[in-house]
Amino acid sequence: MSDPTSDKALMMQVKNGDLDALGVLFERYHHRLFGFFYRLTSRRDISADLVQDVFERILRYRTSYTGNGDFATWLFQIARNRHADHYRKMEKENEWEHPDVPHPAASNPAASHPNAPHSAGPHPAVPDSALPDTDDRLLLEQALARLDPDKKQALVLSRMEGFLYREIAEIMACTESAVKVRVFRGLQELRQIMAGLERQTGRKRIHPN
Amino acid sequence: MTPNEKHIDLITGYLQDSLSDAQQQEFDRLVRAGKIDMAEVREMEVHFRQLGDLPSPEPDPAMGERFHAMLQQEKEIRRREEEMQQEEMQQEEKNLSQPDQKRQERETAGRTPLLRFIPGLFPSGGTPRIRHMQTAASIAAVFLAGLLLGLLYPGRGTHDQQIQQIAAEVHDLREMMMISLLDESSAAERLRAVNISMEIPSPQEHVIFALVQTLHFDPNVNVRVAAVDALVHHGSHPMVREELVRAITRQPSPMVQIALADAMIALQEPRAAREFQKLLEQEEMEDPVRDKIEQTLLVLL
Repeated sequence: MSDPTSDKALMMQVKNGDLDALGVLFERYHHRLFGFFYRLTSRRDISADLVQDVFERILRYRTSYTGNGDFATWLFQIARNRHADHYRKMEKENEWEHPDVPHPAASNPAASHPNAPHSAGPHPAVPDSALPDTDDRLLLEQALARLDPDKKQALVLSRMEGFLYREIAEIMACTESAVKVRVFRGLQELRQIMAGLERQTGRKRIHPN
Repeated sequence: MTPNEKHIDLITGYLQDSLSDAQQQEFDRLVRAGKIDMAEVREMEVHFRQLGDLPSPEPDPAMGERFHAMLQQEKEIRRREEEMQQEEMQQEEKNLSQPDQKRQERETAGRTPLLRFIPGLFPSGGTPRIRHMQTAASIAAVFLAGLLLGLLYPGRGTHDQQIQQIAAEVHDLREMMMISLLDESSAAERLRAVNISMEIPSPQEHVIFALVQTLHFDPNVNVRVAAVDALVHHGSHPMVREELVRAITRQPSPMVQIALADAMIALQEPRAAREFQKLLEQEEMEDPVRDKIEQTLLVLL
């Protein structure tokens, strides 16, 4: 007998009209979705909007839910498509996203606060950070923000969201081999970007063992 | 191209710790043979691990408030819809009880041809609801009065012929009522009209045409969705399939698009596949609709 508190069972309840069950799913997933969107956009406001958008769509089209496949994979498929739509819209409107903090080379450390005013830079996104940063972590976040969207998504879904390559392939609508290539090349590119940033900022990264 | 690029499958499996025993042995063998550059793999592994250690950003509490406000609003809409449905059901019950009240009047007046007699029963004034209640009542009245006629004058034809004649008249009246309701400004009335059309076993051309017009042009999305269902009900009519397929790329509403996808599966209409593919090329498509259409294409292709 299936678990009535499983994601799928809850979503079926939503489909059948018990809308409160969506509240439970929201509590389970909004944090992860926010993190996912934030890693892709480096904007807290846009990430919050996209999370809301995902749940609004689930609510609106609840009757079309089939219950096939894994719920989290389905949810992140919607999330990825929402992000793609957002990205296209921004491109069309020529509205480049201003990250929540300025370029890493900027000297003002206060700017790394999440409430700092937006600033336009030559790169699309440099993430903010609410906690005191180690050099390595900051560098990695900055490099990640500069990766191309597909490689970034593959890395975020694999390492940060814990999806298997097979599941990521489903989310990204591509083959498992394509996901592996994106992860591999993403890590290579990450290393190059980090090296470039080190040179730019004059920092020397401490390599962990 | 670095040597490692030839072994992406193994290296990414190693990074995610998902190599099988055989793959692990192969990986170790390639490292020993110098075919995999382990220094590069280690550096990748470090970055890969560090990515997982990055702290996840904390969402604002306002996000939860916004979500719950949306949920509350949806629940309120749903509650109102249920109330409306209940009202509709009560109205239906009233409509059904109406013929009983009028039966006696009809029984004394049933000796003239029925359809000629009916316009006299419908006053031109009154609200649309009252007029339609009268129409509904008249359908039952025609039926009952016809039965009575058959009993009183058995010599005017066989019983079966009379029953057939009455059934045809009820059929015509139902079609009249449906067409008349479709002209109403109230979406609820038009919805009722569409539902009535499903009770008509073999509708005439003009009824199908009216449903098609409703599908293409009704301003209310619920009415258009209902029209899709009604047309599926009359799927054997040649015009229906063609118009449903035509509607696929014309309908801007995601709800109607989903209804059309269900309709095409129900009718197993292969011509729809091409139209759905055209639809998928549109950039601004809602995700659940995209999912639905992709699933539909799997069935149709």
